[in-house]
Amino acid sequence: MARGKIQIKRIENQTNRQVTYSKRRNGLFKKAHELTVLCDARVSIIMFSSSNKLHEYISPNTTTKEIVDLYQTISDVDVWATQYERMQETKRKLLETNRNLRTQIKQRLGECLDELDIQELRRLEDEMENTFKLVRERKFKSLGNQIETTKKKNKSQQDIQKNLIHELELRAEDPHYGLVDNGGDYDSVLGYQIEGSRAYALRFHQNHHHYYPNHGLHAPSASDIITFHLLE
Amino acid sequence: MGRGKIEIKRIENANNRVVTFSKRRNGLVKKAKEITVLCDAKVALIIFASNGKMIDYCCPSMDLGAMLDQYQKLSGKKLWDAKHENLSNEIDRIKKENDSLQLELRHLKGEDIQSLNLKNLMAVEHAIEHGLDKVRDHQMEILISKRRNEKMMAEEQRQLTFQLQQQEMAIASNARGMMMRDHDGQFGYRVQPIQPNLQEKIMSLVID
Repeated sequence: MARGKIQIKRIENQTNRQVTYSKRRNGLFKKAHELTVLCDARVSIIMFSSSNKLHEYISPNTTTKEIVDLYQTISDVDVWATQYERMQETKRKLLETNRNLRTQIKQRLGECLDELDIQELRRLEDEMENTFKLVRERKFKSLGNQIETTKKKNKSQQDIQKNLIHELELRAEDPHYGLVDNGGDYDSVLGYQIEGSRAYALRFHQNHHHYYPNHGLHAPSASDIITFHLLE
Repeated sequence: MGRGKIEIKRIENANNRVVTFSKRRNGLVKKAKEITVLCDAKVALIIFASNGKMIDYCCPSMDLGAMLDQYQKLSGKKLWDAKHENLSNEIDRIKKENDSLQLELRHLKGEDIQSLNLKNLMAVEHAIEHGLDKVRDHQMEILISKRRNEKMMAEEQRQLTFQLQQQEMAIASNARGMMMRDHDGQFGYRVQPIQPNLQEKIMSLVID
């Protein structure tokens, strides 16, 4: 058990104070529990340490709210009266702030102006003009950012397109080989008449015409020439 | 000190139970006080006997209401009534609304607009532009009203001046009438003495 009497005054050493708090708190809760068991008592203990940490004991046969309510009934005290008044005052102040904020907003939207005199209206006008400039500047900056972003996207798209076109051009320029018709010029046709006393060398120039030996006799000029010489 | 260990279970004998309750209750309160002093702690203690009697202790540095309020905040358990809870909720709601209104007002003052996107910026710009038109219209109304008042006052002043002149002329006319009667009434007797007075009156009228 304890080792020597201690003076009941604030413990200055913080560590000792905390240790003592912890030990005595547990002791207090233990004794509260004993009282509950031995004597059918109902006990509520609520403790806050110097650092505002919460610890509580509540007898198992009841609840904290039950004890608090019963306490208020028996002592005829409203423990919340002070809190309630404080909250009502807080609410009043909040509502006033709310009203002020709403009025200021409405005035900047051009409403609730009857309360203002000509000087106040001028000041409000000046402030709003400044705000208008600020917002417009910001809008243009934002717009500029968007334009810049769009331009970059556009350039990116154009680069992709250019690459694709270039690739297509490369494919189009590849040489492919096939038959080339050079016009079908035939240089000469030689004919000899061996049986006659005279031999003739005949040369035809028939550009842009195909010469078909099997049908040569049907060609008008060729046919005439040949016939003439053969008859002679 | 105690005389022997006792078993921690319900004391069946009613008299013994009452005596033990009284002793231990006082001991509990004493220890609550001690921990308050030694450790800067805040303690609230409420004890109900099985017969309904109550004893309570609350540390000097904080009243029970404040203790319980802090208890509610830290533990999350509600001890107060619906009306307190409702009031508390309403306060929270108004706080949130005020925060929202505060932000809206800041935007309308051109503050904290860096985070606004283009659409919102255009909305704010439009609202301010529209508001400016109304403010200017209102100023114009005031000026027109003021000018109208000035005209009315000027008109009223002119009428009053006119009336004053009329009255002055009436007074002057009466004065001449009186002079003529005086002259007629005293014709034979006062011809010589009246002449210098007549001169003075004529001069006075001319000056007026």
